[in-house]
Amino acid sequence: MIDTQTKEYLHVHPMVHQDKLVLHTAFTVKGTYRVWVQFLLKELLLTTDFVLHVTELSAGHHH
Amino acid sequence: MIDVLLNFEPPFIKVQETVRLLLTPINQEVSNVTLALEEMHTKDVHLIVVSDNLSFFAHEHPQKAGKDYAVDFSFPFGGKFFLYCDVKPLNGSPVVIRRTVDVASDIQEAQRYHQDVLNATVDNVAVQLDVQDLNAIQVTIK
Repeated sequence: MIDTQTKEYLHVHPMVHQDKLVLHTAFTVKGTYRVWVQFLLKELLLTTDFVLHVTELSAGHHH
Repeated sequence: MIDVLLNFEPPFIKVQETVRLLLTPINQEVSNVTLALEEMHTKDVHLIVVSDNLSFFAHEHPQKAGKDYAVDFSFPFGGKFFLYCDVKPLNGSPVVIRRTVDVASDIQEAQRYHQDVLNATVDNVAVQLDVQDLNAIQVTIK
């Protein structure tokens, strides 16, 4: 994940919780983020990209 | 203080021409000594390359080449690019060092990201992000 303004980079690896992939993030800055998700499927590396607006910050739990 | 020195061969980067990126991890407190790294996720170095407008993304794994780590790369268009070098010094904590590269060419227009994009499809695989809890984003791959 990269903040479109500051270009700060967050590297997150998914954890498996009850058969779901979960990204534990710790946003400290509101803003618009570009998100890329890469995964291996049948030995093929696939990349998908997203846009995420973070408008609120919560205390949340950190890993 | 950990740093990653960045050099190119050839020294001038041109659009869509292969350039060898040379990365040298160092400890600034110990000059002229290449920093020993340990693997993270099976690689010594993860190099993320993005364009200034974040429309372009690449994830490379430079290979050890002498005292450097090297990877051949071709920048797809001109303008500013950000390189994130994700490394873990031996017995140390992971660090991300950011470098900026200017590729001579026409300047790319700024990209606007007005709305969330939480669904994507690649090779008939659909990926969805559930962002109801920003501290625990759920990823669904179908």
